[in-house]
Order: sequence, then C-alpha cells, then structure tokens
Amino acid sequence: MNSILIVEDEDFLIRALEDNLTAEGYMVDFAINGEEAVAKIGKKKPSLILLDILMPKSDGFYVLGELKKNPEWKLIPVIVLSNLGEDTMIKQALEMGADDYFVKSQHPIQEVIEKVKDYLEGRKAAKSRP
Amino acid sequence: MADLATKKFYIFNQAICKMLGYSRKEFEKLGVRDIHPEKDLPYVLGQFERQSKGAIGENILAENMPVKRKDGSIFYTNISASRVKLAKRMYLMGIFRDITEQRRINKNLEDAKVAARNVLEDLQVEKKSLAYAKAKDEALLASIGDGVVATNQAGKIVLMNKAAGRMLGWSAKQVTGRLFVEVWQVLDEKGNLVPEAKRPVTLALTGKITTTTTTTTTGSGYFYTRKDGTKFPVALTVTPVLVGNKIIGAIDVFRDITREKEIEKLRLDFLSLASHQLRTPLSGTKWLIETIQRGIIGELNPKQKEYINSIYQINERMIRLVSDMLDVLMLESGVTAIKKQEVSVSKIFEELLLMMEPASRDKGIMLCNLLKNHKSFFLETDLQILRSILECFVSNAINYSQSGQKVFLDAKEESDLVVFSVKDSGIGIPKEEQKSIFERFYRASNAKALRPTGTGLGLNIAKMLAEKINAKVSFESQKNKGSIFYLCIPKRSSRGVKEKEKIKN
Repeated sequence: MNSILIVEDEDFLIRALEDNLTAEGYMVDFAINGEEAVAKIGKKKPSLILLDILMPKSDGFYVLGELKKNPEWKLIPVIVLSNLGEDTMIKQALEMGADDYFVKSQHPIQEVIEKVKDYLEGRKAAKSRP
Repeated sequence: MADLATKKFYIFNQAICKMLGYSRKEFEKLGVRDIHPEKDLPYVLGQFERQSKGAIGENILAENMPVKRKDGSIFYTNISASRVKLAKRMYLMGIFRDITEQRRINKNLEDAKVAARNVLEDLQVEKKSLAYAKAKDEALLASIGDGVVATNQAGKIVLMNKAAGRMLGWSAKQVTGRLFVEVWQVLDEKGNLVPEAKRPVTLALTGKITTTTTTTTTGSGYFYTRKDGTKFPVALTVTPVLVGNKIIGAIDVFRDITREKEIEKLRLDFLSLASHQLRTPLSGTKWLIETIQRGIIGELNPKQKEYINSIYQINERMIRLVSDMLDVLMLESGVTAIKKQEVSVSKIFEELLLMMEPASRDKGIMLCNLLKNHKSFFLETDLQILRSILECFVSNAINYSQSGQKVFLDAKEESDLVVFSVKDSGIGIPKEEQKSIFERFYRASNAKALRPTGTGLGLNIAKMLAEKINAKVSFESQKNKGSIFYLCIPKRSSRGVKEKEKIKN
C-alpha cells in the first residue's frame, strides 16, 4: 500500500491533507520538521513526500538535501507545498530535486490530491535526482 | 628784491616780469602784497617781519608757494629768499622758480602711483577672492559625502576627495598620478573581477559608453576593493569629462551602499516572511473548507452548504488581495527580475485561451482569437510579465461582460511595436471615472456594483508590469457598450541588447 509522508508544521494543514488522502485510500504519516521527517523516512521509506519549506528547527531544503545524499531515497517523488511564492524559492527547490511545487493558497487541495495520484498510480514518473 | 620795510620791489629781472605777465614798468610799481594770494599774505609778511627783526643770514625756503599773475591766475613756485643789505637799507631777495611743470609731473607721477596702488589693491582683492573660491571648491569637494575620483585621459588619477580616500583606504597623496586600475579593482555582483576594458572609467575614457550609473536597486551592482583587499558594494556614476567634444578625463562619483543593501535585504526578508505568514492561515481555511465541501467528513444541509460556499468565496477574496498586494510590494521593491526571451504571439494566445477557458465557460462567455490566420510573429520580452498583463485584461473582460457576450483577443505589428488588444462588450467604464482606472484600489462604480469582490489592484499591477518591460497600457471605453484594452510593447527591448547578443554569438 502506498504511504505518504506529510512534512508540515501547521496542524490544520496536516489534518486537511490527511483527511483527503485517507479518503483516497492512502496511508498517511506526518512529521512537523525536517529532522523528524528524515528520521521517519529512515525508519520507513514512504512512496511519496509532501514537503513544506518553512518549518522550525530544520526546513524543507534540509530534507531535499538529505534525500539527494541517499541513493535509496533519491527516487521518492517530492511535492513541495509552500506559501513561499518567489521565483527564486521555486527554482531552488526544483534544483534541489523537488518534482513539483505548489503555492498552497493558490491551489485547491483537490489539485494536490490529483498530483499525488498522478505519481503514485504511475501516470507520472518522478525525475531522478542527480 | 623787495624793500624789507615797504615790501616794494626794488631790483628785479626780466624773468620774473615774464613769469608774472607784467612789463618792467608795471612791475616797478608793485610790491610783495601784489603777487601773493590773499590767504598766503600773513605767511609772506610774517617772513618779512622776522627778517627785519634781525635774524641774520637765515635762508628762507618756501616750497609750493602760490603766486598770482597779472591776470589773477595762480601758479606755484619754490622761493628761496635771503636778506641783503644794500646802501644801508635792508632788502629781501627772492629767487622764484616756476614749478608748474614739476608739479604736473609730480601730479602725474602721483596719479600713476595711486592708479598702480589701486590696481594692486584690486589685484590683491581678486587674488584673495580667487584663493577663497579655490579653497571653497576644495572644501566643497573634500566635504562631499560621496567619493569623487577624477582621472585624466590616460587614466591617471588627478584628484581624489576625502570620502573616496576613506572608502578605498588610500590617501590622495598616495594615488595622485597613478593609474586608476592600479589603485582599486572592480568586481561584479558575483564577485568576479571586471576586466580593465569593461570598467566604467575605461568605458567613459574611450567614449564607448557616455555615462554608467548603478543604484541600490539596479540588478548589475559593482563592488570596489579597498587598499586592504576587502570589498564593498557601490552605487556609482561615471562620466567622461568633455572639453568641446574631446574627452580629457573621467569622473567617478560613488558611495558605499553596504547599509542600503542590508536594508534592502531586510525588506525582502520581511516581504517574504509576510507573504508566508499571511498565506498560511488562508491556505488552511481554504483546504479545510474544500475538505468539508467534498463531503469526506459528512454531508451538510443546504443552508450549511450555502454558508460554507460564502465563507469559501470570502477566503478566496482575501487570498487574492494578499497575493495582489504582495505583488505590488515586490514590483515596487524592484525584486522582480526581467527575463527576456523570444515570445511567439500565437503561442501566448493559445496558452491564454486555454487558461482562461474555465472562467469564460462558467460565465457563458466566448473567447475569440482574432489573430490573423493565427499566423505567428515574435517579440523579445519577459514572457511571465506579458502573460500576467494579458491575463489581467482577459479576466477583466470576462468579469465585466454578461453571459452570451464575446471577448476578442488580437495582436498587430506596428513598425517596431506589437499592439495587443482585448475587447469586450461589457459594462464599460463611465467617462468621468476613466482617468482613475489605473490607480491603486480604484474600482469604477459600475464594476463595484456588478462584482463586489474585486481588489482594485489588477490594472494597477498591469500598468506597473508594463512599465517594467517598457510597454504601455491604454484603453477606450464607453459605459454599457464595452471596453478595449491595449498593450503596446516594443518588439526588441533595446538596440543595446541586440548588439550584446551578437557579440555573444
């Protein structure tokens, strides 16, 4: 069964994502900062990661960096969900290996769920990280 | 010779007669009183008195004595007189020397002296004021807060003011006469050394570029190096010094903008943080409402559904407002970098139609592409900015039209311009409100009535964006008939860019 790791520090966003993904039949786990996320990935490799950027302690870029280092993690699809809308941020995240970037307030949650399905049902392949 | 007692003349020569304009006959009858002006008589008679009282052998020398001619005119003489005893009578013998000529010469000499003195004084005053002016200029130059370095045609430093010295870590003495390239280095914003041929001063001296100006916000910033090798960011203006049409040197005026850069960074960090902090709760509300609307967590009754939909719309409006306001702030702070690229007009129309299709379908409005045979032409501009402006035009056209109406998109080439147009048959803009339509937060009265949720920022942003790419926005509109919005955009951003491209290739 596909499992999804939500990395997000805002409780209400975790809940919204969790409810929708569970309704689609996915298994969902969450982490509230970068360090916790890396620890959880280490214990159990998820099928896909939904990743926030700005979080306390260690941010989303840290997670992207860790994923890149580990050959086993390289191919996990990562969709960044952030409210940082600057071009430079988006570019940096994509360069660091994110597969997609959503500015949260500008996309309905349904779009995010559809994107998750695209990756997990093989309609879209995650790009390989260098 | 005059009788000491009677003061009558006794013996005299021809010369004195001639000098005074008398004949000998006439002169015989005259005395001392007749040849001196009234005011000098007391002195003259006083001398006679003293001589008669027996101060013997004393020679009188009266210089500049006025003497009266027969015709009453006055001239000046030097008289030397002495007492003479002749046949037991005492006389005073006077020798008169006409000094008119001498006086004239003296006077001329004196005048010349005075004149010379005046000239000298004037010169000294002039010299003082020149020295003052020079000191003032030097003080001015020295006290200018910006650094000023001037070079001659050969690139040797002829002047460096205090501020420049302080910033660069050199004293004027150490660098005067040295080539500017030996004194400090220029680095670009990435920290790479700018080669001599491309340094602003070189460009000015060779006449390749007349004036180089960089400011705090312009993209291409420069760094200068100090004597100790450290660097600091500068805003500069470099200008050639021209005499006639000839370049005789260059002036570099610069200042340290470390502080401004820091403030700019703080401002950007703040904007970034604000945008994040404002969006986070809004996106939470959005997604939670969407989750309720999907019915995952149970069905709502119709009234609850209606309210939830309203709350959703309000939240969407808030999201739009925050996003638009942040766009404005970003635009104003100059962060939005311009990325020029070849843009196909037909392709951008296709994308636009595809993107706006859901919105137009919802409202029952047909989008029509009038581009001739969909034939394409190209222009060089920032695709993202162009797209944003056209999106704004099209979404306004859709928002302010009624179901069943059409919106027309077109583009035409006009010499070196491309003119985009978006035409609708909607509510139009009332004439008296047309002048305000690009103002921030301004919304026409009929637009507010039809669609209360607009932010009043769309056209304001479109206008600012257009300025960024040297384009112009304009419109024609009639109330209840519709509007047509234009975007005039240069095909090539500037000749300079084109040439740069050539060099690259």
